[in-house]
Amino acid sequence: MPEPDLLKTGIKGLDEVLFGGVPRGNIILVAGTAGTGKTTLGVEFVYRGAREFNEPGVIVLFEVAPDKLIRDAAFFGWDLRELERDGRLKLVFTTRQLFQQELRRADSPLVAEAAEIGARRIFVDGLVRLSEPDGGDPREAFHFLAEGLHRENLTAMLALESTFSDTAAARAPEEFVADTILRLSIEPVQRAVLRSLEVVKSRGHEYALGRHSFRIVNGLGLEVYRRVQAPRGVLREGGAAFDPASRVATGIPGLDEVVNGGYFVASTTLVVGISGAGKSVMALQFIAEGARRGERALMITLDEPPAQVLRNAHSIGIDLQSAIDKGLVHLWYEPPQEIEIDRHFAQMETLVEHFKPERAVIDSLSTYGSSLGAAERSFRDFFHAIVALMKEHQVTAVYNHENPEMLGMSSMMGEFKVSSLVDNIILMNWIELGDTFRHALTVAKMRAMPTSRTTHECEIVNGQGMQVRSRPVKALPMVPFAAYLGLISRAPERRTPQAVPEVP
Amino acid sequence: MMPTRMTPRRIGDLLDRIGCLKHPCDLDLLLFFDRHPRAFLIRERLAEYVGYDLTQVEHSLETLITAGLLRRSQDSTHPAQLYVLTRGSTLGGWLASLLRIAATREGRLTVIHVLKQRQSSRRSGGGEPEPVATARALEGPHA
Repeated sequence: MPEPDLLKTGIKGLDEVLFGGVPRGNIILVAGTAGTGKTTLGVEFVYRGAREFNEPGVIVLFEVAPDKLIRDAAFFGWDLRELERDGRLKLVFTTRQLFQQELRRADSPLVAEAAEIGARRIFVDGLVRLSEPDGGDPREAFHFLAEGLHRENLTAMLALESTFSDTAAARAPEEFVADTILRLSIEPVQRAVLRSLEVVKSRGHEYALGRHSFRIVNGLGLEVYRRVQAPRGVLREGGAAFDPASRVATGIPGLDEVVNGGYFVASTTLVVGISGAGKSVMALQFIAEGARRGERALMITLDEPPAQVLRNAHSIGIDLQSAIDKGLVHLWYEPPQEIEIDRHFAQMETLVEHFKPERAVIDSLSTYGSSLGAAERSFRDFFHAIVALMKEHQVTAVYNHENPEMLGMSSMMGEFKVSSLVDNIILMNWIELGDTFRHALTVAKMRAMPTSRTTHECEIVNGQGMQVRSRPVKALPMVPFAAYLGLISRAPERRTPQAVPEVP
Repeated sequence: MMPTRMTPRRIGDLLDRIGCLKHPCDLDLLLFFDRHPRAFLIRERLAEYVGYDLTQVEHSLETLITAGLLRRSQDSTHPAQLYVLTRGSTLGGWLASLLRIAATREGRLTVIHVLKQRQSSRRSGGGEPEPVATARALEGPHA
């Protein structure tokens, strides 16, 4: 099958969503209500084409005065006047009716203007539903327009005004004629708003389905973040902890013995416990152990800003700043308020791909849970994407998760049920003995490794951090199930010795 | 805001250097094309945009084109014409100064006032004929 001749938009993240760009010559319809970013997208499409791909362009305006457009573009660092001076851009102000008429004339002065600079791209801002002069079929009118643009060998982006936010109601006849449709929306999320872009259709190539987040960034322009759930490719989907021999040291004295010498490379470990149970301390030790061994480590902190993390590390004898300065540790703090999950994940992807950590910590998953609201599916999809990313890059990852239960746990993950996605689960508990809460650690799950699920006492020593105490007494001999009654009812009673059947 | 030193006399000097601007419509067309340096329009629409009658707009267009401040597409049989502001003309520097002054409401009214004064003195001195314009246009459509 021949490869399509794709035209790169040059807009950050959009070409990834379009799997490389849009087939050259496609009529791209950008639909959305007022304020969704149609004009910015269209202007950037032409600007990037002229600036980065040597493809001159024309911008046709019906309502916005060109000087305002030039002023607004300057906020993004786009010097449209310079492009005009260099003969790489023309801004034409006209009326919708004239524009529609002109594209039906082979000798149109408007078309001649585009041809004069060898335009390859055109952006038409503020198109409304077209109609034939005699009140005919708007679909037909749009078809004439598309033919005219095609005849001039232009890849056109047309911003279509839509007054409805409901996508079904907004379906215009133009959408059936256009080759590519990008729908821009602004949707309320709790009390914030989220911009999203959806490729509704695009003839002649594959693209990532679904609604992707985007931002309009001052000084840059549009940044599109691929939907976190969207498949990333074979390598990502097939990422796995496959090495059965190597172990990654936890950095916590006594814990490596409990977990058979360390975690598997690229494995996923969840550390679950109430606030204060020692999860963050364990995370710091895991990171510091990597740095001590000369391995790059990424620490993503959502709960505490860097200065506080550095202080915490110092309090347990870890010079994290020094490891950061050596380039062994990257500390990334993202304030938890209004985390945009697609954007956050895109940044994480970039970090992992460029910094190439061998170990990573996220402190904590619970914060994502708060950002994503109670949408359990979203949380699971997001976590799945992170796990796949880390496995693809063979990063051994530890995720902290706050379980609200103070003593004991009736559920490992509370309302966020992702335990099936992880390889190892370590439960951190408080045990109340006398007048003191003492730290307890239980390895509840270890994929492909034996585990005794024994509860170990551990302690956090000032200036040293967490350590798992050795067990001074031998484990009690295993008593067979047959020695108990009521096992399934979770209230087992020991049978009297006379009633215990003999084991053959 | 108009620069404080830009008195009607200085504006008059500027108009003398540019030479061709005689009527408020000339100025308003220039201001329109400054905001829309490449406009593809029919004359009727242009007249609606600037707020003068068609005869005056046609007269002012000829003035600007003759002075080399504006370029118009060649095909006069076509209902619409492409108008391109010629910033690089020899008058470019003076023109830019004038447009800067007239970019504010106060500045524009002052320039129009100076143009009207000159029109009156030309009339009393038996100078060139008064361009066709409505009374409303002479007051300035957005004044």
